[in-house]
Amino acid sequence: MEDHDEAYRAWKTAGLKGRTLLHLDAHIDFKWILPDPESLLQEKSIKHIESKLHEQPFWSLQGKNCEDRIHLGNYIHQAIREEIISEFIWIYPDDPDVKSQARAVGRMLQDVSLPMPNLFHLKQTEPGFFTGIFCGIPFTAAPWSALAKIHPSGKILLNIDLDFCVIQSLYGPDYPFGNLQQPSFWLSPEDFTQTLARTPFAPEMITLAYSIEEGYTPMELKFLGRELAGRLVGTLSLQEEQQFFLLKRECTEHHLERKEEIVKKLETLNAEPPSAAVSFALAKAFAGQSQWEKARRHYETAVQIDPSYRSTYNHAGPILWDRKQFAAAESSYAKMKKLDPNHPDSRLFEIKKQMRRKEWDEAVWLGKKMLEEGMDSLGVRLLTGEAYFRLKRYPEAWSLLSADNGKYFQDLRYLDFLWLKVKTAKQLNKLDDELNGYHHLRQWIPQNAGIHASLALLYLKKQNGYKARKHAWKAIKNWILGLGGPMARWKCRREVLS
Amino acid sequence: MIFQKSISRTDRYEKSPETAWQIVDGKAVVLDRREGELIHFNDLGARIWEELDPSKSFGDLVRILGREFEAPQETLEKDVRKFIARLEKMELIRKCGGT
Repeated sequence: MEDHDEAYRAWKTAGLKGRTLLHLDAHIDFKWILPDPESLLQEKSIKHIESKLHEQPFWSLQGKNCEDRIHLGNYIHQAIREEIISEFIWIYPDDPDVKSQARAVGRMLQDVSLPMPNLFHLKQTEPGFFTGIFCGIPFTAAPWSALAKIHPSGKILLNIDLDFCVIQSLYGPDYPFGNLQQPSFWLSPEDFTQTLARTPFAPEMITLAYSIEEGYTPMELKFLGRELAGRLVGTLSLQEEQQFFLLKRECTEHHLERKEEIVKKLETLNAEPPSAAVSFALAKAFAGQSQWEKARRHYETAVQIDPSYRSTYNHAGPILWDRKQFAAAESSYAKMKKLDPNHPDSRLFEIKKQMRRKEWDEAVWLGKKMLEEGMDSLGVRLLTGEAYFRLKRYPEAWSLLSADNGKYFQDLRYLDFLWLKVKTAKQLNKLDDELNGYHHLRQWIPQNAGIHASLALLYLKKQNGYKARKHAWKAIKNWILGLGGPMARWKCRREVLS
Repeated sequence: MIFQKSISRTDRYEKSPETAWQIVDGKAVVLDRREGELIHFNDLGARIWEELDPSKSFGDLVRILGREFEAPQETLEKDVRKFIARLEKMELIRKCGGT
């Protein structure tokens, strides 16, 4: 599977209950999912409703139900709620710096328990080894090297994310991604399967996610997932064994001559029938040698065999840009543009570049052209809307931003979109739209003191003293107690990790 | 009280589309999706909430409730008025007709 939350749907479809989850991942995949409002109304009595609310002291109701709000970062919470999982074991990657890794894991556990600290009681019994109660069920977090010390009970669901083999340091500068400049792996599929074979675990179901689409696993390492799946079920052909051997050597070899030799072997091996992974590796290798014709041909073959190779994250450019490594991002985009000149992301990147240079008119022109050509997306609307906003052309910005009707809510940039919408409504004195925008934002960021303060001021303008007072009070309360507030962190440190 | 609006007998109100509700234990449990809150009303509040409908004016509401609750007309009207004003401030209902 591509996204790890598909594992939850697989467990649910199989009707599993009360299983032990053995989660091998560089991320814990547990974020609090706020309660489903409609389900509260189905309760038998007020007492039942209140007891459910008591379980969620920082609760806030959202329009969408829990199922709609599941994503790759929170699906384990829903699986615990539905009693699919009754014991949770998180195995995280080994890192030579045990202390830093343990500190990073401790911080993560604190963060996930912030909304409900009294449901989490964990102890660090030895460096990096955490045990106790996690969201009401038994929990263990341990490094890969401590796998033999784990003794799960009951039937096991083995849940692997490929980024487990790729991201080694959970505290590293690139975390939550792998090494951005030189994608490589710390654990090979052979070592993985051999270590697992030495344990008494016999999983009832194995789920394996690539996690390419959010950029956690670099596209050039997707083949590791194919190899791991093949090794786990024992279906690798001899040709595949050879291909995976060479692909691994290609991405770990730094000697130029030896690298060229590997590329030649891969080219011979890829003649009949070609594979997407090998073709993509060859495209990257020839692009590195500026042999663009050859590179483009191999890239097209890869995309033809497996269209997922045309992903936004088929290069590190988007992540480098987000990390403000602008020069490296530009060169990454330039290479990808040569391989795939019509990729919509390359066009979006041109707008981003103009905006960074504060060439707002140019950005508007490029954005409008994309929309005219039917390339309508949240990214285009957000960037073009922002360029209009910077030019103080608020009505034009509003016409782009107001046409969303919530259809983009699953996009990661939706929050930026909402903020821009609120700012534009303010400039246009659209009081009700600004109010609606803040309410919408409040559903996404429930304990934000700033949002409540803005709501208080807007209600004051609307002459609704009742609501103005209420939000002013919430602003103060959330500042003191809310997520990330000084009291919350102190309380969590005291209660969760003893 | 600041920002108090007056309510006439011909005013009509409708429930906000941002609400969902259910009668639980004889009480009205109202879900305010916009604020992310769950509010419950006592038996009189629940009856007012049930009867709130654009086809009924404030006067109609008081008449209907007067038949069900043994209370002087003046006291009942004062209580219903106060309750409706509060619901309007909470944006759980909005005016949809009348003066």
